[in-house]
Amino acid sequence: MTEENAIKLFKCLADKSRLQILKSLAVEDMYVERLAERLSLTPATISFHLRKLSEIDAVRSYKTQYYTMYSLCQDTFAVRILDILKEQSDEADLQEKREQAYRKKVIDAFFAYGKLKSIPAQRKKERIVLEEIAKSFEPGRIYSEREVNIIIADYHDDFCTIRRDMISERLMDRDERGYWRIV
Amino acid sequence: MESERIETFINYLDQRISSIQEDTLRLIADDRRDEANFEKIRANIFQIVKTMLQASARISQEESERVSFLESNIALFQETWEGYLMKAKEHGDDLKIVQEQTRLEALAEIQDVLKKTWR
Repeated sequence: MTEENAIKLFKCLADKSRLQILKSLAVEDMYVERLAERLSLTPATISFHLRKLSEIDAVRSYKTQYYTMYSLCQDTFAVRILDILKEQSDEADLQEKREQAYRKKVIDAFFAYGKLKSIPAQRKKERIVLEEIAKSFEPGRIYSEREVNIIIADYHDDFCTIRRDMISERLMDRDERGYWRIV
Repeated sequence: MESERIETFINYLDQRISSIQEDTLRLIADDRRDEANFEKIRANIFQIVKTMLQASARISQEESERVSFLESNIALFQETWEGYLMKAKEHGDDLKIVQEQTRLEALAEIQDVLKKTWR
């Protein structure tokens, strides 16, 4: 499902009457007048909702001897929301560039000549700063607390806070052997 | 100073506008935004008729002439919207069908009260 179609689907479903129509059709196929009676809406309003639902392939119609019947398109609803979210976004590149630009802005603002000027109060910014400091630790190597403190002290005097925050942000981990960077 | 019947009719229009606006808010709160938009259309018709009635005072001070002005304009709207509804049905335009039906329903209700008030 394309991003555009996913937006159309979610927009269309964000309506109680349409959801009620779908719930009714999930029980059995129905015609407009019957849905109108069940939902206490006019047949014209039901037809309007059904048109919107057919546009996103949520329902389909077929003719019987007397009525045009509507049924639920099971395939449309068999798609997992997680699969839609995991699909490559049309905007992915743009989002990545925006993200990188934001990171650079934060790093430029908080670092001067390789030193951290201050620990950001905002968590999102602090995370970026900590990620930058974490790059000084080799992945897979175990460091003693003293080694960790010395490396962090190159950036900022308050190495205790930074060390603790790196643990709580899950950038580093520790046990009785020492500290290591989480890749 | 409006006549008693005109005042009663304007009060009726005001009450309907306010009750439809309440319905609109209820529908929005109930996540039925499209239906809320249809109710906005309905409220708008009552507002238009109220404006026409108030404007009729510029044409005449005679109550009967004002009512007849209103009736002829309502009939004109009805004819136009019935035409739009027919076209919408021809083209299977479900949105327009509901919109035109809502307008015509509101007009029919107003015509009914108008007749009862000035019968």
